[in-house]
Amino acid sequence: MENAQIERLDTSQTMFNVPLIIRGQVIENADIMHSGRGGGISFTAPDVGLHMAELPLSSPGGLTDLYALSLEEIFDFLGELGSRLTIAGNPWVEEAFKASCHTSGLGESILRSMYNNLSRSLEPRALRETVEQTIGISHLQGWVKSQLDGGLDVRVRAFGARCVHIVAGNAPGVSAMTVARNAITRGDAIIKTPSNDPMTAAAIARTMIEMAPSHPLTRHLSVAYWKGGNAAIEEKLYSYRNIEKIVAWGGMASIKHIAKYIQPGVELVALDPKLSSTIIGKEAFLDEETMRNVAAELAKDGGGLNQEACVNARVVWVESGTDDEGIAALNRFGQMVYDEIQALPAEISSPAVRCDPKLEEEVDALKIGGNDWYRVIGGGRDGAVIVSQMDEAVDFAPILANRVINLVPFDDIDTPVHAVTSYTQTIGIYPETLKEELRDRLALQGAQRLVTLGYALAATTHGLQDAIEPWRRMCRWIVDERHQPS
Amino acid sequence: MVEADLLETLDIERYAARPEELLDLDRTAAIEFAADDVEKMQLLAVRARFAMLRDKLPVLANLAKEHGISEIESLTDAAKLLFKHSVYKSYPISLVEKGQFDRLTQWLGKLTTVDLSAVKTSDLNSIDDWLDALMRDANVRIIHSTGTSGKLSFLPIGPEDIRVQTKSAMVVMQELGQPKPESLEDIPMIVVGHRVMYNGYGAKLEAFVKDVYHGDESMLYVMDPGRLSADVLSLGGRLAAAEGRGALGRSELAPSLAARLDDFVAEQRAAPERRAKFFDRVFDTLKGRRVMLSGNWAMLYEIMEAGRQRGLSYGVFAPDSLIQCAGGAKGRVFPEGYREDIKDFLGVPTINEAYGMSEITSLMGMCEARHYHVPPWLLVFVLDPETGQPSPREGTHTGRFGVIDLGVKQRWPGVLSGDEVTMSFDTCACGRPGPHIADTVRRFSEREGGDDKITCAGAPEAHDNALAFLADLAR
Repeated sequence: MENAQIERLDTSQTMFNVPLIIRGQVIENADIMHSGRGGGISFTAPDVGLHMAELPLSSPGGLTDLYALSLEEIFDFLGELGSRLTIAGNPWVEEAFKASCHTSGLGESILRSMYNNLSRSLEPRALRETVEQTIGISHLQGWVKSQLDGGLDVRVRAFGARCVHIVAGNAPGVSAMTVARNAITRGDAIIKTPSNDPMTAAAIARTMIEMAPSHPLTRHLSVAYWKGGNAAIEEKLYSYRNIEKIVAWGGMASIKHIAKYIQPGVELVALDPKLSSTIIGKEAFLDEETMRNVAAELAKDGGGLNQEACVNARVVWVESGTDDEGIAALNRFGQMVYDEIQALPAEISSPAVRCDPKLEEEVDALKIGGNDWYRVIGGGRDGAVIVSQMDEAVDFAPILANRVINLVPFDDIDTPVHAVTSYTQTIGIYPETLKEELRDRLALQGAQRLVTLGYALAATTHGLQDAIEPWRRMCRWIVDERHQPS
Repeated sequence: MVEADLLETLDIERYAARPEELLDLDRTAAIEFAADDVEKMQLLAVRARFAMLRDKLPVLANLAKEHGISEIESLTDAAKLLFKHSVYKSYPISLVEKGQFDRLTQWLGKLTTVDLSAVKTSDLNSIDDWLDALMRDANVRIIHSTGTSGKLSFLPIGPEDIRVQTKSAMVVMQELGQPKPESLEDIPMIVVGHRVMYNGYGAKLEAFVKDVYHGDESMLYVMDPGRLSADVLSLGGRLAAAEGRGALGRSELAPSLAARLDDFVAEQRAAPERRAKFFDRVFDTLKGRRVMLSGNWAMLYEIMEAGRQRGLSYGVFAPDSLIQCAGGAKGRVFPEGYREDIKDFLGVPTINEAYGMSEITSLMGMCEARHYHVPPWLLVFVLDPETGQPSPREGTHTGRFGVIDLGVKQRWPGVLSGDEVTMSFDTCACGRPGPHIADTVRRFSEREGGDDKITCAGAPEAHDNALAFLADLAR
C-alpha cells in the first residue's frame, strides 16, 4: 500500500503521441490526429500510408537472419526484455500505462499490476514449456526426422511467417505475448494496434531498440496504428506479396472486414470474440461452508479483471433446481457471490471504471419491471448478481460486463449443455467430477476450455487458445520427404 | 377554440387538474405562456398524476421505492421518475417464443391502469394476434419498437389516452405561427408505410381514419396495404441474433416459423413492384392537389426520388399541402441542400418539422429560428448522461432528454430517452419563451459508436434488416 502511494502518477494526461516503428526505426511525425470518443484518448500518429514502401518485409528471404539465432538466445533476449518493462523504470511503459488508464475498463490498480507484470508473458521458463507443448522445441531448432509406414523418411521443420497481428486492447499482456510468439517462431511481425491501446506494443518495441538496436529480433518487429478499415493501407499491406498470415483478435466487425483480404497465400488466424460461462453442480449446496467456498471461487471467475476478459464468467448455470426450495437456495447463493465479488482485492477487481448505459438500462428495467422472473442483487458501479427465477438466462446475456453476472437455475443438465455454442470459450465447472462427466459433450457443442471453478483467469503454459493453437498456426510447417527411388 | 385566442395567462389550477385539456388550445398560443406559470402548473399536475398512478402501477411503485420517493416535492424528484425504454421490454423473450401470451398480458398489466383481464389469449399464435386481441378485448393499443435484437418493447395506450393521442394528431398538423388548417377531411393522406402499423405513425393514421375521414379509406394512399408485422420484426431480429451467436441452423426453427419464412420471401419479392405501383398512383391522381404527408427525411427523400424517376421535378403538389417531417434522417446521409430540394419538389413553401418519440403523444413543433418548442403538457428535463441529475431550469444545457407527458393518464408517462439534446430554458430567438430544443438532436449510441476498439471479449452484433434476413435464410 505504501508502494502504491509512492508510485502514484499523474494520469490526467489525455493527449498522446503514438510513434510508428518499422524494424528498429522510430518515426514520430504527428501527421494525423486521432480523436478519442466514448472514453477514448486523443493521439497523434504518423500517416502510415506515407511509409508503405518500408512497412512490409517485401521478400520472405529477409527472415534468414533470424536463423542465425538459437532458441536459447531468443529466450534470453525475451527474458532481458521483460526485466526492462516496468512502470517505474521505463518511460514508454509508463506512458502506455497512463494512456490505458483512460481507455481501459480496468481500474488503475489492476492496470498497474498488469503493466508491472508484463514480463510474465516473456518469462523464458514459461515460454520454453509453452513452445514444447505446442510446436515442439526441436521443430524450431531444425528438421525433425521421422519414418512413416512404408519406409518414407520425412523431416519436418516449423518456419516463421510474415504476419500482421491485429491485437486486442483490453489487456496489455496481449502485446507482450505477441512479441514473444513472433520472436520464438522467428517471424516478422507488423502489430496493428487498436485505439483502446495504441501505446503498449510501441513501448515494448522501443525498449527492444534501446536494448539491442540491430538485433534480428528488433529488426523483425514493426508497430503501427492506423484506423482499422483504411483501405488505402490495408489493400496494399494485406497482399500475398507482403505477408503470409493475419492474426486477428476480437471484434466481429473487424474480423469480417479483414476476411475479405483472405486469398490464396494469405491465411487468417482468427481469435474471435468469445464469451465464457460456468456450470455449478448440486454439490455446491452440500452445506453453508461449501456454498460460501464455491461462491468465492465463482467471484474470482466473474469479477476478476473487472470481467473485461473473454475468459470471465458471465452466465452461470447452477443445479439448484427450479422449485421454490431450489430458487430460495440460489437467491441466498447469489447474495454470497455478490458479497465475495465486492471483497475481491483491488489488484484484480474494482468497481466499474466506466458505465455501460445499455447494460445499466437493462438491469434497471429488470429491477422494476421484471421481478416475476429475475432478482437483482446490487447494481450500479459495484456490479450485480442477477438471479434468474427460472431456467433461462437474461435476454441481454451477451452484454454482461462490469461485474454483472447472471445465475440461472436448472433441473436437467441438458439445459446448460445446450446453451454452449462455438462462441463459448471457457467454462468453469464445479465439482471436478461434473467436469469429467460433461467434457466430451461440452467440447462437441463448441466449448474450447474447461477449467476448475475459480481458475478461469489462471495463466497457463499449455499454449492452446480458443481450440485453434495459435502458436502452431503462426508457423509454416515444411516437410522434406526423402523417397527411395525404386 | 375561440377561447385560445383570448387566453394570455395560464389558468394554473384548471390545467394542473386536467392537463390533457391543454391540447384543446391553439398550438402556437400554447407555447407562449410564461415559463414560470407553466412550471407551476406542471409541478402540481405531475404531483397529482403520480399520486393517482403510484398504487395502480406496480412498476412505478418499484421505481419510486428505488429512489425513496413517496410523493413528488419538486421537479427534481419528478426527474428521477423516468422509465428507461427497456422497462417496456422487461419481460423474458421466451414468453414470445413459447407463445405464453397470458403471462405477457399479466406483465403488461403492471404498466397500464386498464383492466386486461378480459383479454383472451388462449388461442393466440403470434405477436400480431396478441396486439389485435388487446385492441379488441381491452381497447388498448400497443406501440411497439422495431427491436433490432428481436425483442420488441410494448407501450400500452389505454382508451382514454388514445383519445388524447387522436387530439394531438390533429393539433400537430398546425405549423407554429401559422393558422390552424381547415377542412382536413377533404385532404387525402399519403402514407409511406403499411396500412396497419402498431407504432406512433400507425396510431396517428388510425386517428385520422376514424376522426377525420370517418372511416373513408379512399382518402388514404398507402404504400403497403398489408401490415407492419411485429412477428417479422421479432423473428428476423431473433434469428439474426441467434445466427450471430453461432446458435442457428434452419433445422432448429419451429415448423410453424419455418413455414412463415416462405411468406416473408414472397412479401419481400413483391415489395419493389408494390412500391412502383404506389408511386404511380400517388403521382397520377394526386399531382397538383392538396395532400397531407407525414414522414421522416428518408421517406420524403424517397418520394422525391420516385417522382424524379417519373419525370417530375418541381411543384408536384398544391402549395397549401400539409407536409410534416419528424424523426430525422434515420442514419442516412443526403446530398447537401436536400431540405430545399424536397420542398421544391413537393411544391410547398415550408415543411412542418418536429421532434418527438413514440412514448409521448405530441410532436414538438419547430419555430422560425429552427428550435423545437415544448408544449405545456410536456414536462421536460435535460439530464446528465452519467449521473442522471437534471440541469437547472435556466440557461442552455446539453444532455439526455427526459420527459413526462402530462396528457397521459393510463400509464406512467415519464420517459428517459436515448437522445442527446441541447435545450434552452431562456427565451428563444423567435421571441417565445422556453423551453426549446436545438436542431441537433442525436442518439447517444450514435455519439459513442463506430470507433476502432478491439477486445477479445464480446458478442457479435445483430443484423438490422429483419425481412431481408428472413428472406435470405429461407433461400
